[in-house]
Amino acid sequence: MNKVLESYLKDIDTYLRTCDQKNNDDVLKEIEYHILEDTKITYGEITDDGIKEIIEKFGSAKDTASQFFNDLEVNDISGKKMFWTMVNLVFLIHSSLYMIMLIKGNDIFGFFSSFSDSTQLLFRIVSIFAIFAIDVLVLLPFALGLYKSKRGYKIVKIISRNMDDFSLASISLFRKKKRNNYINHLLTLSITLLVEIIIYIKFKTLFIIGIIGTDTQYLADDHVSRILSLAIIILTGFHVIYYLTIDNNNYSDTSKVFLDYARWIMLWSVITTICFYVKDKWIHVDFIREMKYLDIILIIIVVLYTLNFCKNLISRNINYSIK
Amino acid sequence: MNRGYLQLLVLEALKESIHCYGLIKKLRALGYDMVEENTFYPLLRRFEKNGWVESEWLINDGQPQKIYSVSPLGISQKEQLYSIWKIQNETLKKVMEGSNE
Repeated sequence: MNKVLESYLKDIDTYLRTCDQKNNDDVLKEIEYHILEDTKITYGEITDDGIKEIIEKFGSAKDTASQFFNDLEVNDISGKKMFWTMVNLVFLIHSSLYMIMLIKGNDIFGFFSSFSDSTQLLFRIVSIFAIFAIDVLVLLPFALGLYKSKRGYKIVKIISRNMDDFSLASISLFRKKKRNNYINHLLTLSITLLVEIIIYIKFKTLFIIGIIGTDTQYLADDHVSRILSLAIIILTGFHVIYYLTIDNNNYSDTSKVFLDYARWIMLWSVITTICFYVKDKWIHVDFIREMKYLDIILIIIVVLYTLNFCKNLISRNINYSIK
Repeated sequence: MNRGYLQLLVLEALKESIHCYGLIKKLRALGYDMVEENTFYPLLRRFEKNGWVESEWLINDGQPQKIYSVSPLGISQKEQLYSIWKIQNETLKKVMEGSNE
């Protein structure tokens, strides 16, 4: 293909990347035909200069792509959906703060004493559900108000004129990944699963907090940690199977919600377990006491997870089909 | 530019099966050059989504072409748009005649 035309089509494809890839390919094929045919008819032959002229007449790549994305529409979001969106957002903020406090060594619910190690750890892990229950209860009066008013809440969104699986495409944060990322993601997940299985077979736990020298291994290897390790392996395995069975990385909403929540609870459990062992069990070991970077890494993970979770939550709740 | 008018024009022009490039050339030949060429592609996508047009890919001289034609739903949409356009036109005429008096 002519280089000028190829570069032009590539630019359009980049601008259209948020849409369904099959539709994009069709659009590009049609535009390619248009440019070539028009050049042939106008100039008698296909030349670089001819193509440049025709492209200029047709419109810039950005302008052409924007023709597919320039409708603004106000949509209704129901009271029920609004309530759960609110609960999820509040829960995310609360649980993230709680997790960060846990990383910093605070123990809000007082699990430090009076229980065995396994029970203490288990209580800490399940406390995320207590946070969720508290948030639902606190927001209940708000929910009653929403249900009583029986009105929809307006959300302005940018919609595509023709792509039904598109939402907030013009905002790069909300862009869907391109199809080739599917293979990368599947490969990464498969390797992760393999590594997890190998570590579990070798150590009977995934929580290798630290290894010093040749004879001291710090493993979180009680019952809770073992069950948690198995749960993580099963979740990764489920994710791999899910990726293998879906078509072109198309998620259904239910699967997305399930995976998001499962990942969130796993992250919570892992961080709780690491904090529990690092802060309480080996506090006497100097090298671990000085591991400030671990706190920083854990907090970064929590923040990134929260952001990703919020992003999915928002894009899921305002992803409407075109009216 | 009145979007309804453009829709009416395109639906009428698609009485005969044609590709988008051909459609643009047809409208240009008839003197319609009020919108840019790249407007027609998303417009036809929307028509397709609404069920107003049907399409199929054909290979012509080794080149893939997407051929569009108006569907029964598109025909009824066209008739609706045409009656709206007629009313608007008559109203405009009356208003202009009124202001000339």
